[in-house]
Amino acid sequence: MKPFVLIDDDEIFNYLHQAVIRQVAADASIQVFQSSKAALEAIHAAPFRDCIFLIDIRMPEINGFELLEAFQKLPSDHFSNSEVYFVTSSLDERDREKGLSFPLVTGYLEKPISIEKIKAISEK
Amino acid sequence: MEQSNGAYNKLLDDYRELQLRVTRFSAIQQDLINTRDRLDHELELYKRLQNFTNQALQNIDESRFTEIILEHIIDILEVEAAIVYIKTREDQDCGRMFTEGMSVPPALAEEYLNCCLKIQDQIAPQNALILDQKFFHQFPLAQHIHRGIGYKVVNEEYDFACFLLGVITEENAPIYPELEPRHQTIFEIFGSQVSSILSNRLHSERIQNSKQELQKLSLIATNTPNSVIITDQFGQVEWVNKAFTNTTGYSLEETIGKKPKDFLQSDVTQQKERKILSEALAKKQEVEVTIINTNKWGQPYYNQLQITPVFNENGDHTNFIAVQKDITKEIQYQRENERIKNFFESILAHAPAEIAVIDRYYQVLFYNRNQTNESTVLDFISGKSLEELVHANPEKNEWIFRLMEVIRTAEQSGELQQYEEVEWRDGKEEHHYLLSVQPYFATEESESVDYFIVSGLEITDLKKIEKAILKKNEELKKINSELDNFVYSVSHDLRSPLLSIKGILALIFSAYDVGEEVSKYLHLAESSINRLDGTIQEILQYSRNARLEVKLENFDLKELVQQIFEDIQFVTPAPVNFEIEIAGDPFITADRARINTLIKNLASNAVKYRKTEIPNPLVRFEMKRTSRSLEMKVIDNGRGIPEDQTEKIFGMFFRGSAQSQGTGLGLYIVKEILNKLGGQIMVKSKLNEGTTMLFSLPLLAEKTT
Repeated sequence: MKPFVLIDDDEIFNYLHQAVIRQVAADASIQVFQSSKAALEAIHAAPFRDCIFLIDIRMPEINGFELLEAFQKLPSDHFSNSEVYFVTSSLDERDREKGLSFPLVTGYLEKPISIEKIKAISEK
Repeated sequence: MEQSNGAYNKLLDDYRELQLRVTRFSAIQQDLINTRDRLDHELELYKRLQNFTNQALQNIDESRFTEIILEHIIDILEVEAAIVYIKTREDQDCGRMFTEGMSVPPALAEEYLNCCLKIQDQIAPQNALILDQKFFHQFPLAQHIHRGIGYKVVNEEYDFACFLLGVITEENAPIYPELEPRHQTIFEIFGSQVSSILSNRLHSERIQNSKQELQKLSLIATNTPNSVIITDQFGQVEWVNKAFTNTTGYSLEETIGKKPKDFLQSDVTQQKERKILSEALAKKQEVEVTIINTNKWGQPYYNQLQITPVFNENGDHTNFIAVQKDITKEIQYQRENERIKNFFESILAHAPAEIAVIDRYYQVLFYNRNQTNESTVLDFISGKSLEELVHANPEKNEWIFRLMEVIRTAEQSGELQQYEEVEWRDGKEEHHYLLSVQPYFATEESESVDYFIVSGLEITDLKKIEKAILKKNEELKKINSELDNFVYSVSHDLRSPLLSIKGILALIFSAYDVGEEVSKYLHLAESSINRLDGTIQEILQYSRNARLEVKLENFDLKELVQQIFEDIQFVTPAPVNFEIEIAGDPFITADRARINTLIKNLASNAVKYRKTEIPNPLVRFEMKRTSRSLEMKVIDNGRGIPEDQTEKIFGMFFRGSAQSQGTGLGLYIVKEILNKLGGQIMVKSKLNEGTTMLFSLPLLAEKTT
């Protein structure tokens, strides 16, 4: 199973989504970033290959879209084999459209992510 | 012997004397005979002269007349050949030459005529002249002529010249008698006879012509549609024509000896015209006036009158000829035209727009300066032509050039052109004008534009309003967009904690065994959370529909409906049969987001109000096209709607029953979306059997995929 990278400013969701992932695989590797800024610093420091990103859209300072734009500026092999999912509580169709328009983005998930969804993603 | 000798001698002398006398007598006798013969011959010649007169006076045409002259020149003068040259008024520069007894090659006719004219130039009029060989030798064409005799007459009264010539050629000179003074005498008589006969002929011709002319004139005067009056020098009627009787009602008998003004003029208002008329008549001058006359039946008519005085050859005034024309109708038409013209011009003068008419060559044919408004737009074209104005009005050149350009565009397109001009006055006050150039075709046959109707309208106030509206609109859009973002942020922030609670509950259910009682409480909490989330979502839908503009796109309806059904199935505990039937192309052009909400709400209701007790609850979506619309149905076999409620279900916050879980906004939003999209909805429902929601959308131009 690929390691998960959770990026969300909401502590509860981070906690909840970790618990859900552990329900599927108790030994899963999960890296959590409480802010997009912190995530960006870490990503700049080293490549994130073979990962599953779960990224919130609405975040202070740098939102999910801006974060993806920053991702795109990095060398293409920086995210080899990684998958990116936007996770949001937004109901805005425009958010979905925009999110799926990034080439790095694999999917768009509504909060809260269910155990079934995590199973589906990790089994892909 | 001497005596007898003497007697013999005397006798001999007597005999000789006698013999001499006899000889002399016989000579005298011969003389007498000769004289008698000569006289007989001359008598014969005079008889011929007589014969000529008899023949020539008969009614003969011109060619026969000249033929007779030629024949008689030869007969009377006993010459070999004759030439006649006649020039009358009808002959322009040169008269005509006729010959007899000599051949004139047609090719040389003109040269012979010139020769003839030269010969006659050397002869004095009214005197017959014998011409010798020396004379003829002057003329190259007359070298072969031995002798001749010529006579010329010039008549000023009848304006003619006539030259007669008899000639004998060198070749035949010996067989013809010598020309003598007696020939001169007889030729002079003959010549004067020819002259008088010619005068006679011309005189009768002139009489004939003037007779015919007179006949024609009287025919014209009688039959002309204009009235003709001829009066004597005192102005008393001598003659009137038929048209006069028709117009005035007065016959010739009724008018003769009277003055026309005494019975035709009753209107005393036209003092000016009457004065002109009477003064001209007193001075015997030609005059033309238009006056009002009255006919026999008392009806006035407009009379265009022209009077010409007539003088005889001595210059004495003898008559007046008056020609008059009834121009009442013309005057009426003219007045009507004037009235219509004034009518339209007065409309134009008070129209809120200024109007100018300009032809293809930029000539300004008409311009009405706006009289109701202080500021004018077209006053820059108050001139003869736009091209002139370029020089005369330099500060308006930009406007003039623009107008010329628009006129060209209008000419090429044949269609109305409109544009705006802005004017700054006193450095600050702004005027806006709307200018229109309408190409005008005078007739249906016109192949090119005949002229352009240019109109200018001040739209400063409209512009101000337009600006204010645009500004308001911008503000409203901004407010709308802010509000939309606000609603989003709020809904997002409201949902986030709700969804985290929902997630935690889901985690608890899957990871922990909390016992039946706790589990029941947690499920209650979950259903409350779902209801609250539903409410938030519906408020959002409502807000979006109300605020966002319709956005059309081409999309796969089948895919959309499948997604909706999957999403619903995902949150529904029991299985539901979903069916989709789309006739034809699944791609439609519509507002995707609204259609999504619309079908989602209808399908959610169908699932929500399904019959839980049956094993096979069904939700079916159908779509088909008609010529003008997209017809869609959401059909279920659920609980149905009581008949008394089918009207109310689309109301705001309507809830079907106390047990309803929704907010009562779902169908209201459906209705609102259809209003926005120009669609309609209809409900068919039977309690405990099922509901069919039938809705239609106007068919929009679909992109071909």
